[in-house]
Amino acid sequence: MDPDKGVAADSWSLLFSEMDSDSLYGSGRQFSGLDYPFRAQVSDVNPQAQGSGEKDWDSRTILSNLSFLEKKIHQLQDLVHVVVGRRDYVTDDILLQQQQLITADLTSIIVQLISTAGSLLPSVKKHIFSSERSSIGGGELNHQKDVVLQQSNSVSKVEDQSDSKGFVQTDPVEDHEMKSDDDVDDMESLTPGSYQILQLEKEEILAPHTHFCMICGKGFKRDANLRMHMRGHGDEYKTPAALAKPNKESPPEPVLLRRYSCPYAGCKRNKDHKKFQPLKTILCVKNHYKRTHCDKTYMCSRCNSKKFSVIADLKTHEKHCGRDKWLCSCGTTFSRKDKLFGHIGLFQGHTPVIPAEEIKGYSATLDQQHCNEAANTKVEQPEFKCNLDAIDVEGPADDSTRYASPLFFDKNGSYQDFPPRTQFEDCGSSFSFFTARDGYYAGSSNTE
Amino acid sequence: MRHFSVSGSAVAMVGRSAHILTLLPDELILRIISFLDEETDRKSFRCVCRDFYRLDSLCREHIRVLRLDFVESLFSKLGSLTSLDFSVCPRFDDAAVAQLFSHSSPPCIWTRSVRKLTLARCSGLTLRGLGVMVKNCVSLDSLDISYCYGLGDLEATALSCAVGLRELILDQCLNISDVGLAKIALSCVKLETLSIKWCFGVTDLAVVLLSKKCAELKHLDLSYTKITSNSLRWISKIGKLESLRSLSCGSVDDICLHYIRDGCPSLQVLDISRCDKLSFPALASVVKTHNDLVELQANYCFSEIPVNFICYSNKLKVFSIDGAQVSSPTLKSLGQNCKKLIEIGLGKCRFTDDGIMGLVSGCPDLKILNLTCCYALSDIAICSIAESCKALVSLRLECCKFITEWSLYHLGSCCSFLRDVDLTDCVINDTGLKYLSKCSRCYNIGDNSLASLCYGCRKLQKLIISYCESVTDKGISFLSYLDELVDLELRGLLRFSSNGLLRLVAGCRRLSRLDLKHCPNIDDSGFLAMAYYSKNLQQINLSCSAISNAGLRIVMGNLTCLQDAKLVNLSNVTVDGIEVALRVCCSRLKKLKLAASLQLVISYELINILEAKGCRVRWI
Repeated sequence: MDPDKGVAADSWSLLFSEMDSDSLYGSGRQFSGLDYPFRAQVSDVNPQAQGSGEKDWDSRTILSNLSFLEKKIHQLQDLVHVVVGRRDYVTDDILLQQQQLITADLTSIIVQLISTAGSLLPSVKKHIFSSERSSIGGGELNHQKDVVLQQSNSVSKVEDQSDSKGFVQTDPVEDHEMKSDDDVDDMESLTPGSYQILQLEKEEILAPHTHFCMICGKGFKRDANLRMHMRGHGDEYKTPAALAKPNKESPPEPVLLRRYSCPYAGCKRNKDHKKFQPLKTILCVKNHYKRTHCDKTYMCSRCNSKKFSVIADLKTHEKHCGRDKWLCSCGTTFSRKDKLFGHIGLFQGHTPVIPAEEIKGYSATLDQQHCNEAANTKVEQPEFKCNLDAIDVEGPADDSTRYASPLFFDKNGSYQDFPPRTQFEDCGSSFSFFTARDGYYAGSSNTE
Repeated sequence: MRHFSVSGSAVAMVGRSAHILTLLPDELILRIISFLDEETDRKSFRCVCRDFYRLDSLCREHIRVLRLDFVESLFSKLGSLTSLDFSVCPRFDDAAVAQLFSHSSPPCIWTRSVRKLTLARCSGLTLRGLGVMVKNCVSLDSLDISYCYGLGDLEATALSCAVGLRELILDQCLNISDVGLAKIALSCVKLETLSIKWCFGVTDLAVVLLSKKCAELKHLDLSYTKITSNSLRWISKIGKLESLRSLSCGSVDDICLHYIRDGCPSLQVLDISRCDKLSFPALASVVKTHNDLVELQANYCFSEIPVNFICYSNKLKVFSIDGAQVSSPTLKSLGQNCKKLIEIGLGKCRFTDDGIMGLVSGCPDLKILNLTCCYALSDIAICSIAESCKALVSLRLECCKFITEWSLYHLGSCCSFLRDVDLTDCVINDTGLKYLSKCSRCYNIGDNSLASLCYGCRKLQKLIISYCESVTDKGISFLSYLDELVDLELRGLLRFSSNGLLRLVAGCRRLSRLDLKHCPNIDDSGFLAMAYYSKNLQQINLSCSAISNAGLRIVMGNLTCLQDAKLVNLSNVTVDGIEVALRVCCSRLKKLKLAASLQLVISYELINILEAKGCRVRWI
């Protein structure tokens, strides 16, 4: 082989890497009039290939391009033959000129070859991708592919604004459009292969922002907010096209159902769990992850006991906090009566408790003045018992005139002393309100 | 036993030792006493002499308290008291309870044996009183606190301390909610009978809990509550349930009946009257699967009974389908297939003579027959009833306009056990009543000629002769022979005056309910006589009468058992007069009806006192 050719090949590769296609075309035109029809054809091909990646490549154009290249190579071959034949008769100057000519021609051929091949590229990629995707989904997931998918997902989200010429064009899931607010497990019966499982990483789940400004780097939760922000960076972002919602005009292609997996190993929502239950949306993933695997950082300021990891839960709780009027003897409170009754039905020995305010209100109407000292002995009884006892504490020596009024009941014996919740805690004994021993209380109090 | 008291008292005057009964050992006399089942006979017996009184006290188990005056000492004397009834005691409230337990020597012995406690209509009772009662009666078995409309969840908490309760009647305890019932259900797990009629606060939640926790339930009355099929689902799983009454529960539908069909293995009594969402096939399927059914009440549920309905049951005794159209063949097949029927209700069923003849020919044991508003019935039907069902006790023939004295003649001659005949709006004359009076125990007749009635039906207890304008003082004075009369309604008798009332009250000393509405010719002299004689009066209606201020005060002051008074439109009484009269009796009244116009005029303080004592005032 001619050693010059090797040098030329090196310089070509250099040229290729440094030149853009336009200058190459220009140079092509410079050297040969045959370039023109080719270029025209290429310019036909390119917009097609770029505009609609999913459209099949035009085989007719390729064929004509290739035959054109073949002619060009033959011409070049003839030229080199002539150069070789006249080698002994020409000067070095002329030789150098010829060499440059050949180099330029070859370069143009290479560029045209590449551009032809490049016009085919997206459709080829697309084809490969879809065949890969259909091979996913026997439950067995290629992790690498998964990561690729997820990266592409996040990339496309970040580049929402930029004109993403689809490499792998997954349509970004816009979480704010999801209506369902929590990961309600409605146990939809999907067969394991019928949906596609995506898994976001922990950092991604907990990231406060998902949309970032390309210029200043500011983050946003919603892409609409980002678009509003972008207006400030120049007039080109104020056009209706830039402000329009991306991907709105292109109807979503029928894709497989997407379900999400929790990245926490061992979680039932994790795809490796035996009884894996997928999450429906990204928002479900976020709420699930925060509720289940994160610290509960939001505390209710009213009751100072309930903690939440999702702020919406705290807000929901605050609406009801302090209004839990359904009490169980075990100390649990409920906002709804049916929940209390479900609880009581479940546990042996638990009883509903009438709130203390009601009892106080009740006793306040009765216990107005009369206070009977005789009953004071009663108060020292350590255990809780129904204060109705107080009535038969009335000794026989007491004046009977007092009984004429219903208001004779003593203050100490009133329901005011109805115990707070804590006293019900060992409900085993307390729900038998009057114990059998108290049955003859009148007697025992007199012997005291 | 009437003669017994006479001879006894005669002997007591002569000398105790002379009487043979005093020579008998106590055990024998106690045994004789045990055969006296009428309360009045027992009363006569113990009034004979001290010995008899002592013996009667020894074995007396049931006592119905009218006045609280000496009750503590009385209770401590009665050794075997097991049943206490305070339902007619006019002022049984918290203070009375406290007094009761403070004066008896501690510890209260007599309460230990009390198993049955009736506190119905003791609306003055609240948490304290009830709590003390329940706590002291340690072996309490059965408790009736119906119509204590003020009772709520707190009181239910106190009740739940009686863990041994088997029977609990909570009818019309309006303030009891799910929480209260849940407390009772959780602690009184031995409950066998529970009635929560008209407890509007109770919903499915508590009933479901009840059916889960109280597996011993046998009789359950859920009438007029808001339960739905969800409750029935759990109720149907109570294996021992025998009787289920869900009268007029608006949400009960076919699904409920399906639950009953598939569950309730020992159901015997089912009452689904006035549940209007039911379809007949659902009920028929219940009847088909439950062969042990003894009583079935489905009044006013269905508009029509299909002709092909056949009920084979030799256990069914009570069957009532008021308000449904029934064909004659259906009735005939019912009579042939259910031979044991004792009571049948066919009010407003629009059938003809053929149908009822077919029915009664198959059921000779019929005792109670309700034929209200069966317009087409004629004498032929009544005669066949009288001839087939000799044991007839009660017959309701309201609005059967084609019935003449001929039917009454047959009834009077064939059915000697007849006690209750309703002839409202029937065209009846004196001859007819004369025939009817041959049967000695008529209790309830609404018509206008009285002399023959009073000679024949000496044991009449309830009589309604309202709006019979031809009745005069003379007719009323015949009534004074009815010394067992308890309930008398004399509305709108324009020719009835003070003289008649005087004769009446002097004769009928047992009278406890008297209605004198729209009797404008009675003046104070009559009312004064009533205040003097009728000490047992519990309910009185004086609306639209001519009573004066003084008369009203004396009436209200003297009638010490009075609990329920209706005092609307008293033209001769001023506001002050009403106030004075109410102050006199404010501690006794439980129910009071007054004109709404008085609401603004009458003193607020007085109404407060009344309500504090447990009296409910209705403003009309």
